[in-house]
Amino acid sequence: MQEWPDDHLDDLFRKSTEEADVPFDPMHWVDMNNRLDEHDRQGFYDRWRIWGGTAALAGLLLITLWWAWKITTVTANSVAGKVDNQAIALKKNDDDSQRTKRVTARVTAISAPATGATMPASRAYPVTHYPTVSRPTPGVMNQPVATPDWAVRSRAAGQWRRRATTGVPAKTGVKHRSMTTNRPDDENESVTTLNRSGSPATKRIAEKQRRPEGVASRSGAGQPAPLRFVAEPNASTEKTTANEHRSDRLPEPISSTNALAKRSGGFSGQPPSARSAVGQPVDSGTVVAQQPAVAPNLERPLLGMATLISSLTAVKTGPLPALTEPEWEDMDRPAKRVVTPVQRFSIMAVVSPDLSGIGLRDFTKPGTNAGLMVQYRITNRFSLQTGVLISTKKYQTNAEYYVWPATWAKDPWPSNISGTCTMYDIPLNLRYDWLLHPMGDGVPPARWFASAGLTSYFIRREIYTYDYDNPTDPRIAYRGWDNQKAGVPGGKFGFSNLNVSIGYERPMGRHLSWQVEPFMKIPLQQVGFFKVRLLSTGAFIGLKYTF
Amino acid sequence: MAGSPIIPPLPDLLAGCLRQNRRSQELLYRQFYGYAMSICLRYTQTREEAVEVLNDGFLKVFTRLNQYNSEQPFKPWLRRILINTATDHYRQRVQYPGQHDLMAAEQVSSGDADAISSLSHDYLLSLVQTLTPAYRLAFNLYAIDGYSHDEIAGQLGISVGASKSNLARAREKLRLLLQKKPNDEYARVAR
Repeated sequence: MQEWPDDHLDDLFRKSTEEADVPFDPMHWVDMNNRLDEHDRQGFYDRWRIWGGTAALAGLLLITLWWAWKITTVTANSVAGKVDNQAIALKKNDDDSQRTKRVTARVTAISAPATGATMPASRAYPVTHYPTVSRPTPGVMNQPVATPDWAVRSRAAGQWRRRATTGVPAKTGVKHRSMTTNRPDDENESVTTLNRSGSPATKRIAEKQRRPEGVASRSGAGQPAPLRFVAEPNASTEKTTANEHRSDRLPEPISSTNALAKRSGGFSGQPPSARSAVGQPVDSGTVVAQQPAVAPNLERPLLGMATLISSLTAVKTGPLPALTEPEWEDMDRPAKRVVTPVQRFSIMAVVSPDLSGIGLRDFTKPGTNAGLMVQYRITNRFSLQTGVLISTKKYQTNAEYYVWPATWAKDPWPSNISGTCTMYDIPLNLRYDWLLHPMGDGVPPARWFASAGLTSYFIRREIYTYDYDNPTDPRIAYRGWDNQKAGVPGGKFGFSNLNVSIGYERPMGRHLSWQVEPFMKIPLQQVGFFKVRLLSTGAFIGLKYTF
Repeated sequence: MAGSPIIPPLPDLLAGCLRQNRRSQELLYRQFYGYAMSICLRYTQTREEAVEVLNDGFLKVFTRLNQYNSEQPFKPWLRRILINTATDHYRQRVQYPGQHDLMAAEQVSSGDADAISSLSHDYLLSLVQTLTPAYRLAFNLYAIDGYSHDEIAGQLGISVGASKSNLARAREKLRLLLQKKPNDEYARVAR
């Protein structure tokens, strides 16, 4: 028997390998060629998926931001030219000043005859209001108008009710605070060149003369019509500025036309036909309902990768002989490939800062979101998510963005309101994993995802703090409002916001993963006691367990 | 010779491959096919498996050629890639066909009649291919390709002791197969 020492044995096989001469097989190159083709295709898909997906998400984000900005600002369809002195006081703060600089209503006073004859507005000069951004006209004051229509109506309703209770007759007709006229009104009160810093006396006079424009057309002869706005039909559509209030919020229908007389001013962005319907609630869901719920739809074929994996893991089987191998050591055996079972259910603890505001502005210090989410994986890429979040939202904005109960009399009006709301946030989202990065055998892939859905707010507590321009004003009766102290239960607002988010999930093992998910909750309806359109954003950080 | 294309110098081939030129890729594949295939055959059990490793390895070569240092010889780089691909392939295997290997070894050893001194490459290759994957890798990496046990342990994710044990058992099995061959031959002649 020939002996084979280790060295000889190794040399024998080493030399044999050096003699190896394997002839070329063209079929193997065909296979190689196919693999290269597949790799090129996969590379194209990868590039398209990464850059195209990023571009699509960026576009989605821009559309979302634009939409959020659009629906959270209020339409400037106020009663043109009717800004009362109360509104003037509210406009003293800097924020309002900037806003009113951008939106003005050009008002042309109808020069009354020297005799002071009154011309009925409804006949000779139908009142037509258009917002303009124009140069001042001699004798006409550029009237900064920033109070939204709903606020006007809300306050007007309160004024009307106060009048109704006090028996003060309401006035009809139209009056503008910024005008020059020598025509007395029906109460023999002469309004002369009112301005924003007018005296209280002139404010009262102006207030008495205030009329809703929708009413003006119905007022008969003899009603004062001290001025009219220049009719600029094209201006109604082209003069809308970035800060116009597009909201059609209306706290409650106002039955009396006199309601508008209390609070004048605001924008005049609506056509006359729309303004003539003052008092009728406008469908607030129209704008929202027309917005498509955009979700990325990035189909990504993984055929090449699947083929490669399947080829590498192909099981080569053959008939097992009866002969058994005598000595097997476990350490010799290669680790068997771990086949990851389908994991459909996940539970996730999330926490996030919460930046809330009325629109994309006036963010204050952040609140918090924390809660538990559950996820059900429908397919490899689609998942459904829901859960419960305890959310504390802090926001601060101008008082005009709040819809006040009509029965509340606020004199003076607060300039700013800070709110803190604690609520349950119950989202229902559909998630799409648009990019998967394999992390190895037995470990789920890392995922880039986008999700969209609806969320419902169940408010537990609302605390509001009012800020006044003059905090020492003795007329201030209320410094804030707390729903629990007021005995008002928190509201329930189903599907009040649209959730949009993108995120990245990375596994830490077979069952555990972490993720980060910037989000935005876009208002679809008004929430809270003061009916605000609350927009929230932040970034969830979550720890997920999948089983 | 018909059907045998003129192969340009290696630097030109590599430059063409860097440009993803398919013709250059084919010529490079042709030029190193024999060398690469001989490596893959040693690390795999069947020819089909070897082709799979071969093309996986060449795919890495073509897609990562920019990582190749042209100042270094190409063959060692190619061999390194192929060996790594083979070990990856080994790690991803699901089944462990050891018993089948031994049976195949028995059949191979009893089928050839040449003298040991004139053992052909194909015959020796067939013996190596009958080893279990763990033994085959340890023997190839250590005895033929010159890896140390530390490197083998690191590459396969096993301990150094397991690597030594695998090598020893591989040698033992190869000796058994080589010694069985003359006995079988003697028995055949005696009949």
